Amino acid sequence: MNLPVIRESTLIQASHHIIQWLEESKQNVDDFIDDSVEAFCVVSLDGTILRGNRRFASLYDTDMERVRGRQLKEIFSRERWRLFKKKLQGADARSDGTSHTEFELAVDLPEHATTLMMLWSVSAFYSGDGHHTRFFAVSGRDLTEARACENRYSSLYANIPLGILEINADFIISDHFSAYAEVLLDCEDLPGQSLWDLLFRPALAHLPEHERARLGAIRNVFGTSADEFDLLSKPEQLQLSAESGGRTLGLSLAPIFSQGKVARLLVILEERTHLC
Amino acid sequence: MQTETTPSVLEGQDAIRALIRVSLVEGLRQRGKDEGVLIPPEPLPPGPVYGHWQSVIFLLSPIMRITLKVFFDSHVSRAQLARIFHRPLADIKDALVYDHMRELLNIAGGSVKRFLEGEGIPAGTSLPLITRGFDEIFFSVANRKDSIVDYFPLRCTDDSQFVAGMRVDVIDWKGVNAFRWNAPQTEAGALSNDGGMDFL
Repeated sequence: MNLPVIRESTLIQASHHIIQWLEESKQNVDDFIDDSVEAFCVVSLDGTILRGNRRFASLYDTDMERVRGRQLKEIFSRERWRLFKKKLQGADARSDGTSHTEFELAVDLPEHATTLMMLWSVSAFYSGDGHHTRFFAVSGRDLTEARACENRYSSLYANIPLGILEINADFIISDHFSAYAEVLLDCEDLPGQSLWDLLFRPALAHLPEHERARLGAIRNVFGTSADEFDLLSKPEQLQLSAESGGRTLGLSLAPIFSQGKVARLLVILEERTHLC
Repeated sequence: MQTETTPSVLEGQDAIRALIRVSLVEGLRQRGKDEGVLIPPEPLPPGPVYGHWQSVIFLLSPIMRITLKVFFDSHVSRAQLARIFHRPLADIKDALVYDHMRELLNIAGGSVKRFLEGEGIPAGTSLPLITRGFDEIFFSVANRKDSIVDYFPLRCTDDSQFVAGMRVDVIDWKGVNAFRWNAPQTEAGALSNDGGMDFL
């Protein structure tokens, strides 16, 4: 038995195994990048694509192999490409030592007659050749659907003839309210205001005793469970004084739970003066 | 069609470049079953990433370390294999493509190794490795004084292209400069893309 030969052969086999293992390991990491839902690519300063993942290649209606060598500017209008190029240059020239920049910019896909709103992240890095050749890692998240959703909500809040607003346990109005809420409450600067002071306190004076108790009970809804909230007697209509406009408002309260307890309230006000 | 004429003797870096170029061309001819593979006269496509993938092999000898690479896109290699095996493209799986390109480097690396050993220079080769062409960004070396670097296109009869690359890290310049190779002279342009020599 030639032990030195066997030993060397075993060493070679072990080396081969580790190389195969490393190759597979690297492929696993590459697959993560390739299969990401975010578009990812690496480009040179002139915008030539050196690598793109599957999502990025789909912006070009092609595959990962064929997107290499294409130009990043192909998916932007001329004006948007000027802006993107400036961001590339800016990512490299940052004086604070970081090289990362983030911005929103739409992608134009004429073949699909569509525009995608993307959140781009660009960071510069250097090659390993000692010549400091610059490259840029670019990732893009599609915000189109999220923006459409925001627009739908914005449209709802802007146009619906209801006063919709959100308050916390101190009755402080949040940033989320409909445009008509300002009309019904006759106040143009709602965020941070107390809805108790704006609406409920003035209404108290015009309520019969049993209704006053119901209005006062609103203060007790915070911290209750769903069942407890449902059992509480809540007012459905508020009468405002002549000084406050002499109006009648319908009132609905919807709880917003956190960890099973009422943490915030969605307040919905409806003009009912014309019905009285 | 190539014709053998009086061999030319090359020396030093020229000999090493020529040997490696011929080995890679012959490797692709053999592996791709395509005697028409040549180095076209047109320049390289823009780099440094010459293909989505690269196959890499490493040779070590007392006078130099050699890294051989072939950059490829899998759809090109897949088409080559489909032609060789007379199979539809869908039958050619990724694993077969990668094995095909690994074997190409095995053939080329083996050819270089055999020649070195024939000249009394012991040499060992690694396993060939498949990795992303993109990795070239991090591994490329330009103009290092102890390195000889060469990238060149390889064109097949069906006009499909690969890019081959070599990097020689010189350990012993005396040994490298003393290196001799009798390069076979072929028809002009058969193996050339730089116009500097008739065949290389």
